[in-house]
Amino acid sequence: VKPDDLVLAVAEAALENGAAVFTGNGNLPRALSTLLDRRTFFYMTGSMGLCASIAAGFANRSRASVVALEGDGNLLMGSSALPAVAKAAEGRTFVHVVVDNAQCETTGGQKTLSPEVDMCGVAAADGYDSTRSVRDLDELAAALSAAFERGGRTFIHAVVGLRASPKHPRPRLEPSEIAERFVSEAREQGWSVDSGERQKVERA
Amino acid sequence: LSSDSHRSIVGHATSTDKVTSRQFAGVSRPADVAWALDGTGFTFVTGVPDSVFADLIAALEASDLDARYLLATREDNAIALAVGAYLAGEQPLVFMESAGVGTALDALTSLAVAYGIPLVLLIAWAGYKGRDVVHHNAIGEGLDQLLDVIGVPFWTCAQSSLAGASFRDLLDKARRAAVDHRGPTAVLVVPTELARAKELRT
Repeated sequence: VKPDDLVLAVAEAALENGAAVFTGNGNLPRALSTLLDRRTFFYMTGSMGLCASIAAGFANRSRASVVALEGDGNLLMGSSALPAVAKAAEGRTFVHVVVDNAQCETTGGQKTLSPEVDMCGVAAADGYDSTRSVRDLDELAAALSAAFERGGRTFIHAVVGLRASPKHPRPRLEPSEIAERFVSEAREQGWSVDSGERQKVERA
Repeated sequence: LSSDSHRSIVGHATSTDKVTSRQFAGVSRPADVAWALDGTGFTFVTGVPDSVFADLIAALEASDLDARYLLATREDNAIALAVGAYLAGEQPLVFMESAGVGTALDALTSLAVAYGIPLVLLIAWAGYKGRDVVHHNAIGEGLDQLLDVIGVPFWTCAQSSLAGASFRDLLDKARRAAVDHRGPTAVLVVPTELARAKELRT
């Protein structure tokens, strides 16, 4: 699987299903912001390991379906958050995709512990409703459409092997611009759980 | 934000206070919590427990606010959940103990500060003035300097003020400051057993 094709497949499935997208740091925000930038995409550029937590906090207070897209290094760093992620995303359509190339690529391709870890087993144990391991784009497409159709919390482990990703530049937006753009688009889309109640708070 | 407001000290402890921390531990009726949250504009609460906030958390758990309250696994997890809730339009409050600021440091700096997220931290200040056990003093003694370095304005109050109107006012002030300066602010709560009365009088 070409890494860029995988990123595009996830992003396009998210767009077709009206889902917000959150990326972990490393190559993924670079690839996504270069290949297919949208106002409903949130690029996490630091805070490694916390992508799924941000996505789940958003899912908890939103009507939108949510995709969290991160690499194996991010998942391994942030796996202590998974029980809270699963709890926060309970009852939502929450699709957590881990792109596993078994390395920390942007820092020089250091091998991670991912081959030692049953990621789907971890996700299932921490409260996800369903898990799926995929090895090519067809399997990924099937897993994504099942995830959106079924709803609930789905964990997809996309094993891509040790294949070098194309070099993409960092997202051109400043972090504060990424946040402002996303907040404004979420408001535009009416994604808030109870916008009426919040307006009351804002007026106070 | 001026350094004056940055350092303001409020609280209700007096030299005649002879009470247990339990008596002053906070709000114990869900209705009070709901009022406190509404009154200060917070719409989402998460964090990692500390005994200073035991009654507050018990009230959150017992209240009908459970959809707006999530217990986090770690303090960095809490910050990130709060950032997500903010992106959905909520105003988050995140509670933790001072040791948790160490765990949360990367989330605070490269996420909350960098992305300009106006969340408010409610921190139980273990290690205050080095009067605590060694492992709390190690980070707690310099917690104010640490927050200065990472650019998080803060206010300090006594645990004994948690159930009162002054605490509600302080939370409101911290929230407004967070929105104004587009980044996190903090309210530090000094545990009763570490506070000496006159320090925390207004």
